[in-house]
Amino acid sequence: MKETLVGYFACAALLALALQQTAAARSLSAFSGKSRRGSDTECFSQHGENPDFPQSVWSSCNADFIVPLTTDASGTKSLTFTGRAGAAGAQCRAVASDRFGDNVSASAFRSIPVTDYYDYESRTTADVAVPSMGTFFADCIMNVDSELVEFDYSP
Amino acid sequence: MKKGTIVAMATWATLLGAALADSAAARSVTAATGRARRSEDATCFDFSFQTGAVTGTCALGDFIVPLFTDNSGMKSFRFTSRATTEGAECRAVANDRFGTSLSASPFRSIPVSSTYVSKTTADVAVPSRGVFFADCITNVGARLQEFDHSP
Repeated sequence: MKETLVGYFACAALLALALQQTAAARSLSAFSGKSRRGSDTECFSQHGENPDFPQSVWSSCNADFIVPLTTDASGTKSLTFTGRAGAAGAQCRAVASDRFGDNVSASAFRSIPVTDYYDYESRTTADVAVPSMGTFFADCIMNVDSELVEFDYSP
Repeated sequence: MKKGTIVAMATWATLLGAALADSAAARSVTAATGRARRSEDATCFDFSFQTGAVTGTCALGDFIVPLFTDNSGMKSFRFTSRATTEGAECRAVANDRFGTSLSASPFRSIPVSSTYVSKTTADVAVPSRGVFFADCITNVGARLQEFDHSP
């Protein structure tokens, strides 16, 4: 019996290690995002306290910005975004669909907090259902002087 | 080794195998991760806020989607798309990191359809530490939704 238990514990450790690798959080810079409309491309630029080290995407317009997120597995997923805004109205939500554009799942929008420059805060959306071989992305409505820094989620 | 130990290890090995198999499964990438091949064409593409789908808005525009790989090998990808007129198409392209070992599949047309359709390219040879991406020629109304490949 003792050897059986040792065998179980040894293999459980290997299984836990394998699962830990697939369940770790993924972090993505907002720089991987883009203007939702091609005509709004000029609305978004890099911004930072030190101009040599930009740290956020800064909006000069009222325009939509999306950040595509790569996933490794299906499931219900939320999204933590970090940013700031100069005025109320900027907001982000998580959106998912299958690869045929059906089964759209979208969380409620969460506001991008109004704070001072370089005082970034994080907010987490509700879960959305990401299908196998589906799409998952952040959909943000930006206003003038709003910024996005980073997105975290379980891949 | 006792029979109980062997049974225990076999049980856990099955579970471990399933976990590792899951991590090696096909990788799905939304088309929204891509971009215009030419910077002056950046205004030629819109993205859906519901599905992330990319829609071409110019008569002719190139759109590339970089694909992440974990291993070298022969790889194809499956793309899910639709178009309103003939002429839009996608192919798989690979190269080594020095740009000296180009491999490209023939183009496959983006189907003219009111619903999304999946198509698969031929294989290309992706070297170790190489690049792998989708190269698509789009027209007005061509939509790209998603790309699947073995990483």
